[in-house]
Amino acid sequence: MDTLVERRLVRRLKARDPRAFEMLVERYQEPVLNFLYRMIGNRLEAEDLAQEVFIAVFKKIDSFRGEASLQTWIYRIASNDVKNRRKYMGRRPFDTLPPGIGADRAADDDGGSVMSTRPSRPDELLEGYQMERRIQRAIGELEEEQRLILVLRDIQNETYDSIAEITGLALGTVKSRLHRARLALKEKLDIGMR
Amino acid sequence: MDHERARSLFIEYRDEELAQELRFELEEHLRTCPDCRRDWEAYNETVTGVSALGRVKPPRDFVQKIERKIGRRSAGRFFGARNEFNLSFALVSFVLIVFFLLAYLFIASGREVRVIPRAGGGDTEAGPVTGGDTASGGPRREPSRLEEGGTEPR
Ligand SMILES: [Zn+2]
Repeated sequence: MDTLVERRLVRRLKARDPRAFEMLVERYQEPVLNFLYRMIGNRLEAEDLAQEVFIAVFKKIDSFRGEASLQTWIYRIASNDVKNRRKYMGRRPFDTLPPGIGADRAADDDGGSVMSTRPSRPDELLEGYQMERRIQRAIGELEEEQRLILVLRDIQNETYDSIAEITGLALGTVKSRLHRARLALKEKLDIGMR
Repeated sequence: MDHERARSLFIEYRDEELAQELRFELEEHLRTCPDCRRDWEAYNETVTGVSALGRVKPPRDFVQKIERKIGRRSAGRFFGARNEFNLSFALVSFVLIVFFLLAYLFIASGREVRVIPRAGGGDTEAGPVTGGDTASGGPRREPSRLEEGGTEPR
């Protein structure tokens, strides 16, 4: 978003302008929801958490100083919410959080695949769907810090600089963690060993 | 270039950020080392697979859902308040409009009942109050209903 447009939006948000809040949600709902879905693997929970993220943005907007971009700031809130949720989920009975953090349930929630490239043949469709589930499950098995960076970079297409800002890590650390995350994922997916 | 070094360059190689000389060196190694080549292909395929994952779309009423939540939690201070106020305002307005309409109809019909017999009677003219005009134009006299109320019956 244009810096000037963003600054104006933030000013209106601070004035609690309802239309500005609608604009904010419309602008960021897709990246936020997609990020949360890939982080926690469950569609319904991701949607619920995404709502909480925007509520937090609404509440905390006065503390936004504009040092980072609005998107970076929102991602920071979202990744903290994921962390807190994980802590909370850790205390809940195991069956509410299956291995792969709900990846199986997520696939069911969706009522199908969310692959962007839609194969036409049924066998291709099934293959794409199974591949997507495998990848999502493998992402869910990564260490949290690795998963965060992998999702931000390879799914959300964030730059290394903004990932460093979101996570508060040095650029070198971001890159080395991403590299390790990709290697770990490759092992889990067994790619190249089939 | 050894295997370890070659594999550590995969991330920059994929980002196409390797200096030309280093890139040539890596490509030369990949050409001659089947293990590293297989490793690179798997690495690349993994990243491509992750990047190709579909994107989840938010539901159409996503904004409204959030606004309702904020409305509830702020006890109507934000969003919710606006909606509740609008609803009750519309209800109250409707009731008032209906009330005034009925009241008007009642008064209007009451006026007709009272005015028509007097206009037809003609003998109860309040001559002195409305002026010396003794014309029999009943309907013209209608506006003097208020004045008539004030006059003494004779
Ligand atoms: Zn090698």
